Amino acid sequence: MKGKDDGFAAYFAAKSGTMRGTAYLLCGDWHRAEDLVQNAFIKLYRAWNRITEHEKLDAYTRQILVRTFLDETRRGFFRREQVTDEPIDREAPRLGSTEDRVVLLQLLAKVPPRQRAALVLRFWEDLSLEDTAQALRCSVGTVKSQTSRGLANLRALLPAPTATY
Amino acid sequence: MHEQELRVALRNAMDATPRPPEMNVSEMLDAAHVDRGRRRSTLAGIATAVAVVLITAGAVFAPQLHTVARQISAAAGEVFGQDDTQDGKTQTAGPHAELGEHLLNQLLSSVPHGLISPDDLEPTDNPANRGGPLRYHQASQDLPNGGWRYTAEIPVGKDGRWARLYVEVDHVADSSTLAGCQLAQTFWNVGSGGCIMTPVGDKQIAVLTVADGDQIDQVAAYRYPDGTAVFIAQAKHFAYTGLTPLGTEPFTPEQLAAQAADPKFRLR
Repeated sequence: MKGKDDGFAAYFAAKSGTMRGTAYLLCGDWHRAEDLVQNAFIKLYRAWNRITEHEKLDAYTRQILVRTFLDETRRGFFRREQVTDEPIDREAPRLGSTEDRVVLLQLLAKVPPRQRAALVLRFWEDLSLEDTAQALRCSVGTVKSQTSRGLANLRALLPAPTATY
Repeated sequence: MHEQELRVALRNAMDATPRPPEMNVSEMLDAAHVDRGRRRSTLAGIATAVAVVLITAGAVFAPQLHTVARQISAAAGEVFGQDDTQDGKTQTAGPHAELGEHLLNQLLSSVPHGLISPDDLEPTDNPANRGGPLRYHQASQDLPNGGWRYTAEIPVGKDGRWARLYVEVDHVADSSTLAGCQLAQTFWNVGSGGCIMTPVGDKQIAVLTVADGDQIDQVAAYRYPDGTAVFIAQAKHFAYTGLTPLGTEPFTPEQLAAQAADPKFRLR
């Protein structure tokens, strides 16, 4: 058991920060992000001894994380517990200042969960369509449509025209 | 906002967001150990309960008890007999997936004369986008209260230039009543744009022209009395593919309205 724990602990220390960033983009709250990461790694721990393809460990963990997020969202957990859902009815952000960049994350949290997951995996994790489809366990076509819809929804929340960098 | 803009904006936003301290490895391990102990206790309890029930009930009720045992095990997180053709909300085989494929075939039957829709055309711009042919269909349980959404998409064009056709059929399971231009505006949140009602037989079809759409130029929408909503969208280019735009929409607005009114897309 010691060997299992050592390997698992080393992997957690190396990857939990990255996974937490992705989780934060998915749920919009650091506390929830840490809960998501912890729940995902608990599930990973259950399967740790059965994992043989360690080169696919990141993809497997990411898949667990996203599935955990979607499952908890489906059950209404985040809708019920959301603590950072402040109204965005002020002047539309231009995304140029630090404050406005943070507002982007709040707007992202308003995009439906599966679309949000597709956006985060494609444009934050920079996954290919195929890898995103694997993480979401859906077809490439579904990823395309969820991404398109997610962009359209996000665009509807943002001012037009969008500022460039 | 386009893909690359979102990619940059996400990084800027995360850079500007203060991060809490790193997560504690020991606490993580403790949580994993607690979970392991809890699962062992639960499974042992279930095994005991099932054994007691089996002994008590005897062989007469064995078939029913088998089902009960499966349900108990599933409740404990040990999933048996899982249908791996349906993950969450997207079905890849089964009656809904077949309806999605049927929808694709119906869309293919609508390709305007003089245009083609190859089944193997793929994006050419970004290697990360090369996830297979542009032609696809899907069935997903994305609507409120378990309603199913069927979608299909194809490239259409000629002489190496390509446009986009997209159809969506919503079999709602709630009391959605939006119709006309209000219904059209719900499609991908395309906004108000310029919307006109176009009569097709005894139906009134909303045709909305998107003001500044980067993916869709026009969408026609119709809701049947039973709640089924049909959306047919088109664009004179196929966004984010690197393909040379066709330059004109495949259908005129009137033709697009006629497609939305065609009962072949109702899927009922």
